[in-house]
Amino acid sequence: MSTTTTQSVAATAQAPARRRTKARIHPFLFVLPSVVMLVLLLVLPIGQAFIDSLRVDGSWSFDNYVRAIRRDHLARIAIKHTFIFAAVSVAGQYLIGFAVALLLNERLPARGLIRVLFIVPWMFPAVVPGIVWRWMFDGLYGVINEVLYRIGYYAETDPPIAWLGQTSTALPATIVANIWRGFPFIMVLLLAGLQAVNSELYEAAAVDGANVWRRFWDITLPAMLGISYVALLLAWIGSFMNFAIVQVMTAGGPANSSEVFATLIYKNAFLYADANYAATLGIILLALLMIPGALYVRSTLNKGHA
Amino acid sequence: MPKGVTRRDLLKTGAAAAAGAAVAAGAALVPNAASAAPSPRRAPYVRRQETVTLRFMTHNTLEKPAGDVLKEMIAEFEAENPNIKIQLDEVPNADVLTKLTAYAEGNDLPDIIDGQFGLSSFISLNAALDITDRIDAEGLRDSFIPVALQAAMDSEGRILGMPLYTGTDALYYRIDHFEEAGLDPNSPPRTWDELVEVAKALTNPRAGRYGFGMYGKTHTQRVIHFMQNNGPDGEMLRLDRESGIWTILCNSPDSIGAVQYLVDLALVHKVVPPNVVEMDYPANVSAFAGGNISMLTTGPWGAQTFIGTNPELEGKFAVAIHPTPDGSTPKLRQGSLVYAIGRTTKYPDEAFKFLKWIAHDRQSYFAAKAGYGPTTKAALEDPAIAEDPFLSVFLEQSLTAVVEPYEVELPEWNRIKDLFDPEWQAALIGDKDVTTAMNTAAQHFKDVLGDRAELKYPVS
Repeated sequence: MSTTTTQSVAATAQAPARRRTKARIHPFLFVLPSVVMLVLLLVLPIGQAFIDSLRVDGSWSFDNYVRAIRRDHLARIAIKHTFIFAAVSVAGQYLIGFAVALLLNERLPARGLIRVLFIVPWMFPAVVPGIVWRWMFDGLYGVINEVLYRIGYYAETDPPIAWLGQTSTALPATIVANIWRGFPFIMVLLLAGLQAVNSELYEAAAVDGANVWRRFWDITLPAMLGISYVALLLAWIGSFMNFAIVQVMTAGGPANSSEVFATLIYKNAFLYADANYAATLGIILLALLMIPGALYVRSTLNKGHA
Repeated sequence: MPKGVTRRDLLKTGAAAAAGAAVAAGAALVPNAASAAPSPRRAPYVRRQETVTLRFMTHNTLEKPAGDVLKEMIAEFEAENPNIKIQLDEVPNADVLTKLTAYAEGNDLPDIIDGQFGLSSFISLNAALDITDRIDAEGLRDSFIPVALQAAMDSEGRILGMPLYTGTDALYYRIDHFEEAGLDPNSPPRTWDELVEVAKALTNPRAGRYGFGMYGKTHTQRVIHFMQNNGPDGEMLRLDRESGIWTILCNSPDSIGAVQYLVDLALVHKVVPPNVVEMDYPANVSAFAGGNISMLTTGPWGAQTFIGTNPELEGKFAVAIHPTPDGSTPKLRQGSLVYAIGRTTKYPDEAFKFLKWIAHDRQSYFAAKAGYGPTTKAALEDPAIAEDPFLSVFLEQSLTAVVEPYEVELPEWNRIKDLFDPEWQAALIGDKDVTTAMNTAAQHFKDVLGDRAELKYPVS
């Protein structure tokens, strides 16, 4: 009898302890699959790439990094183009995305359908807009030259403009395609932000006699700062690592005038069989992307704590 | 657990599966028919003939009509060798090197690999199996045309593959365009000056027609054809076999003269499409087949490719000897498509058998049917090839053709080609003068090759 009582008391005392242990373990179990996947698909490949980047002719060295930073003229060209590509793309995507979001926030007929249509460019894999815009910009058969000719921009006897065949226009042409593809993403984010703004603020401002511009400047813009910050960071990351549009439209040409970092990595890895150097360039790209990445994570965590 | 299924049922199923697996594992070793009857002696076991599946990486099956011919040959091979199955791994022309690199890096090379980007790609990736002994054991070395087999040999003389087809570039021209422009289609241009004059006569920008097509985006190695015929130092690189040193010649006066001639076609005479640096091989083929360009240099495969693109073109174009500065016999680089056996294949015997079948045994059939340049001596004598009006032009040119060592032996050739392209493009669109562009290219070559190369001409 006494044994039974002792056992039951012990069991009663162990139950909360087991529950506490379970409570401590369960959260880790829930995130374990994600952690395993991250390690397998992200941490290990990046670690391998970093190790590869330090291999030069069978020995360990930072020479690949020295080569990328000091000796490879193409790497310097590509990084400059990448910053231009990302900066202009993000600016264009943001301005157009914001304008369209404001438009679609108004009471328009068939507003739902119009919203869906505006998202279409973003729904395609990047290769598709690349192909579409490549043909639109084509010097011989492109619709853009045809339109310019029809509106009288150039005469019948003038040679057509080789948009993708000139060093001055190849990179801008790829930026146009990237803006077209990327603005719907920003539009969707900003539209969600606009819909979260309390309508009573606008009504109160209207009663106080504020015009459209004042309402935009004093209510809309401040309310959109947080979401704009996130949208700009994500757009920057997407544009900075863009590969498909540039590769499909120009492959970095002519004369390296549209070479970006991602196309240079591809060439080293797959055309020159220089995997270690490609890994080095990949690590450099990763390091450059970690800055906006860290800012994005910080802003997300701040929201979580708020 | 589904309703009605007990733990015992599952155990039974598991046992059955285990037994099945055991049977499957031992499937290669089965008793012969005699063993079915009771016998006091243990029945001798024989190996059942396994079916071997070979992965065949190729871009040719995606082409017309070569693809159909190749598939026919594969079907014949499988019928004759029922224990060997061919599994096609079809890769578009432009993606061959990307895919091959991925396979090599992933240690997943197909049994037969495609050398669309030249033997140097096999060498730089260490992707091909050395088949020298097999070639010699079967006495095949002398049955290939030497210049074709040379494209499959590395600097140490090892044979790393077999050429499926070969060819130089010749001048294709549109007969109908010549007639419309009042030119005699039986007198195609032979000299560079004639090429300019004829191209001018054919050019009509209003109609979207240009006299000559050039490769401004890819396949720029075709510039070499013009360099080679403009003097003794007209070349990209020259190998000194004794020292192993490459002499950089892309900035020699002969090479610069050749590039200047081509640049003038674009910028001075304006006889090439204004978007020339957008023009890769498919774009040029489309432009020729669609009537936007009237003359184009390409290999023997061009004829069928044009007809495949535009069937109405049959009979409307002809082929002529590649023009040279003075109309003399051209000296041209010989390009060959080499297939090799993947270095890691588990079935080298079967892979060799198949490779020999397509590249050697059935070579005459393939060359005649697909219209590609033959690689064996037997195919050369085949009347279907020797009397073909197109192929005969290429065969005539092949007598003086050469295999460029750098395209075969230099592992960095693809990088060097890619360093040449931007300079060639910059000259072609007038961003740089030709001398500056070629000097820059030469310096890039030197930077890549280091001590293995020397500059013969100053770069500044």
